[in-house]
Amino acid sequence: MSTIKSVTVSLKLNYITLFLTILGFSCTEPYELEFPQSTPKLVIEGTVTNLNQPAKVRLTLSKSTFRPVVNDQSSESYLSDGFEAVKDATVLIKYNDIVDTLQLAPDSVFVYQRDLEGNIYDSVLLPNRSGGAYGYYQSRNNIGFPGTLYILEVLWNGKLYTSQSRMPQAVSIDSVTYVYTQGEMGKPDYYLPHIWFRDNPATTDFYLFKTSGGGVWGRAILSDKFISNEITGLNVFRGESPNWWMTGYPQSGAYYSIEMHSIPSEAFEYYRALISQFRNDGGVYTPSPASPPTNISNGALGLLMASTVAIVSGIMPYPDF
Amino acid sequence: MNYFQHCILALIFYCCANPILSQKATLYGIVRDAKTGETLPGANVIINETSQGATTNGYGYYSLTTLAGKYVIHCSYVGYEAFQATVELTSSRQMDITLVPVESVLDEVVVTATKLITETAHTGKVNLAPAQIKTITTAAGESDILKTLQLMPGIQSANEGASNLYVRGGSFDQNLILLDEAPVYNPSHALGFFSTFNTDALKSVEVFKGVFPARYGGKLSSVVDISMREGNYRETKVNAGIGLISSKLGIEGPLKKESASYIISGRYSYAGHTLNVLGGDIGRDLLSLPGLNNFSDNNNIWFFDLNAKANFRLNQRNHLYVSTYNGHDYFYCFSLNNANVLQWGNHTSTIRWNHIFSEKTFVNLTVYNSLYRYKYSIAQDIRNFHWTSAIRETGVKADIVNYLNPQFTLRSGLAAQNRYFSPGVIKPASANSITKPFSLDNKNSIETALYSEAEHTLSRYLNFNYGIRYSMFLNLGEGTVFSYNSDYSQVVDSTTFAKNQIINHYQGLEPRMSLLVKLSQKNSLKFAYANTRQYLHLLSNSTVGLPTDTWLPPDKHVKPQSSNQVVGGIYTLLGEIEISIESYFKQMSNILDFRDNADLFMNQHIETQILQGKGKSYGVELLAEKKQGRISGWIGYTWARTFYKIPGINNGKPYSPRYDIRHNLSATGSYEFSKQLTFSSTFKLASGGFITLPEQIFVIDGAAFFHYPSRNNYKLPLYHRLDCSAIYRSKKNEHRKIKSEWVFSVYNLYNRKNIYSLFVRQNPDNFTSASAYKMSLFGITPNIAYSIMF
Repeated sequence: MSTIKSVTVSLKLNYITLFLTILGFSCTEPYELEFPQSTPKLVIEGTVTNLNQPAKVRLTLSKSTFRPVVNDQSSESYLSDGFEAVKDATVLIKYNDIVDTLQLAPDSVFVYQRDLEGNIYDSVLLPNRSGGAYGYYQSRNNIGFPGTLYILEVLWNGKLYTSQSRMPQAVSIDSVTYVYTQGEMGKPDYYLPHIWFRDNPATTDFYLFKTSGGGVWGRAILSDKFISNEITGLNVFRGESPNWWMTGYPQSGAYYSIEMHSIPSEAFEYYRALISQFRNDGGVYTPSPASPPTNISNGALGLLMASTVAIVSGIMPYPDF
Repeated sequence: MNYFQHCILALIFYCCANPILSQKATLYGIVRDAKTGETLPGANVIINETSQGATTNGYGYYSLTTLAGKYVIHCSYVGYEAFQATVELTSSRQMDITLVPVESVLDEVVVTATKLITETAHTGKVNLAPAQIKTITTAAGESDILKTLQLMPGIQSANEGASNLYVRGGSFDQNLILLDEAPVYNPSHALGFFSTFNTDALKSVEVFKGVFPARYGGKLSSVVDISMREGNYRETKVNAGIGLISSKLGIEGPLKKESASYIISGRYSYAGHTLNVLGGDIGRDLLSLPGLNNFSDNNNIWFFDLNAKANFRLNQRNHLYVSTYNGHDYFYCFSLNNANVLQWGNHTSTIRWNHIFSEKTFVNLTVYNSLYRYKYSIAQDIRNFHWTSAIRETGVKADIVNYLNPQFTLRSGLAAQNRYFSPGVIKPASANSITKPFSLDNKNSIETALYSEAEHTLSRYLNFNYGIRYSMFLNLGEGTVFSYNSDYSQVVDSTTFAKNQIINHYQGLEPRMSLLVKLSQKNSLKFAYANTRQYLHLLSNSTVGLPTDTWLPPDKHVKPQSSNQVVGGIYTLLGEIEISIESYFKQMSNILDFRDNADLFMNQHIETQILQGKGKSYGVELLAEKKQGRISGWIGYTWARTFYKIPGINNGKPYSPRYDIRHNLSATGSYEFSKQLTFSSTFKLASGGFITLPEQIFVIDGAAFFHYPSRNNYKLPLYHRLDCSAIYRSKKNEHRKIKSEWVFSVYNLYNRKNIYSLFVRQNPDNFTSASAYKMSLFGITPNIAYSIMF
């Protein structure tokens, strides 16, 4: 799922290529491609939420090759997602006349373990996937307050990178219903969680949904430009994947969660561009691909996003037969 | 009376008795097909004794003025036996000519060519006959005008299989495509894989690349003027054909013998039904075709087109033509996306009246209507809605041709069209949809033009065609016009206009000229210049164009496009082969492109997403063409470069559009082995176009994404393929009423995997890594079709 805009301009495949794929006439194959060598760029991913958790800024470097870059510290090499972390920057977040200096996050954290009903039964110390080894910096406390303007400053290698983002007002999810859906050819029937909430008709609002569920990048966006303020059962679980047939629907009996972020307009445009990159076909039926529009200065890539979050979670029911 | 007075009287008497000594007379008339009665445009009519000649106009009309006397008149047209008759021309008279078609080039008749490329002052002009189009193999086995034109030098295709034409560096929305004088806004079915023109219904295709006469206007790059057949004035004929992708049926005949005729021709494609068969039990269980596990038999995909025309010869001086075209596409693919349905379609209708005012004056009056619309229905849970858009054009044209004398023909006229735009309307598809109704402001515009053009034979060696077109455009209310800050990031003001109030206007002069210098009987030079203006923009943010692209008029922010083009060339005849080497240089202003990540969907402030700038294109085109004989065809080669420079794109630096194809070679030939068997083949070799690839990869929110610092920074590899076909006609055809024909064709004979698209994407099993992929569309593709005519 995505916004109306993203859905309507996305024609992932035309039916002729589909038809020819069926018959085996057309094909998609890997292609050996080397980017021209260029200087890596600093990538800044900053998130400030109103949840009871610190603000986080991740600093990494971009790369000009598809081959993974593994950190030189062998104990961390298996943790790497292939992007070199930047651990020697100075990171500040300013808000309401407060200046918060972010520190590198711990490399290990206690992670709660849940049973099938979602109840916590234990906690275990695991490598922190939002830790310093990955380039994460975090504030000491929760600093997220709706309506507040956050200014980010990152000083690295003698260059200063800045950004700002204002946190929108909070919107809550009123309820979740489970809608029975007939499975496609050869697939079982399933339930899908649908969320209900009220959008503020007096303001222009944007939403980012983060969903659990494997196989897809569980992200979707929504703008209130074309929708009424009463959202009566919205499916946000389709997600994005290079394989067009994949969906992120949670299995019956499995734990699921939905985070609904109220986000500023620049974050909405940024995620719209990210979703377009999942659907890129080289510009044949889609626009020429382009970099997402960053709100960070001085040539850095990335985004500072301040958002308010509403979360629902639960266990997927089984269909009744 | 003295001797001197006698001489004066005798001289006066002699002159009175011999009025023909100084009297001119005009021979005029219509040239027609002897079997069907259809008019023949482009036929050559020559007075043998004086070598004066004329070419019939689009309605088969010719006019030749000469001194009174006795002459042998010769008329010729490709595919027809030559006509010859002796005429006593004492005063102006009408002589209609009928030409007998040649069934086969193997019949021993002499067929003289029509006006040669060395004799016409027009540059970049292409004439295609339906018979030529039918010999060209396409991927789907359907003959296709637009795919055939893509084999001509100077005309590119940006993607395999797509019908869009890119002419001398111009984008595909810069082509004026006319069907019986009505513009066709989306000339493609099936997302560009088929053109909307059913070859069986067509009479002629005339294309001007770049420099076109002043009677044409409104687009920058080319004119594709397509005429429908009139139908058989003598007897009723039916033809039908069956193919793997589509079938067609046509019927034509007299409404009143020799006076009125009709033709109705339709085509229906059942690609979706084929998909259903393959996606159902037969495909999965019996054929075990790959990739079928995710497909179902619940798809509904089809298109049709229907051409109909009625023609009336009211009397010798008046003809009336009424024609209409309807085409529609429907796409619902359950397997791909069971929630969406896309439909689109064109409708055109034209009424034309020809009147022969006098032997030297021919008038044509046209009234037409053209409508293009689409509807996209999205049924994704509670957001279900319908999205519609349309453009309607209604126009009138009047053309007067004065054949003043053998050296000078003057054509003048005017045109006026009203365009009504509905750029986008969203309506909820059900009562519980959360989608709000929303619509963009409708737009209304008027475009008018006056023109005058002359064909002037200055001497035996110099022909000069020149003309001027004055065009004016008015943007009318009602509507709201926004004002923005300098970078278009914020609205600072707005102004509301009442219905039919003039919002803004544009106007300008468009001079056109072309000069022919005949060096000898077989060699000539040509020079040409044209200024053109375009008062219509297509917002298409993809290479091949989508049915959901939106047409918009220029306004206060988005200005009309314009171009200046100069052309020079050498033209020669080598036996039956016409050879031309033509070079051009073209500058374009106010061409459009879009910001990175442009938001074009239902955007009230669409002008904030559009960027305008300059374009430049230049190149050399070589063409060698043989139109007659057992072997016919052409070889065309183009070397060209195209640049755009638009502030805000590619950091303001020049960049190549996708269709900047450096080298383009096409060779197509047809060999009539016997009356039953004809072989054809096409070879195409072209440089790759330009696409945008990233230069950096980075991670955000758990997935890899890409940084594109420049646009169209990567050139695709070479494209080439070979197609072959054979047409078999039953031996019994000669002696029976029902004639049949089989067509066997193979597209991409050596199965070259040409790149259709190249892109980078996240890896499906690990989103933090990525790979590059290439997609090839058509491997070796056989096709078979059968048709009957009676």
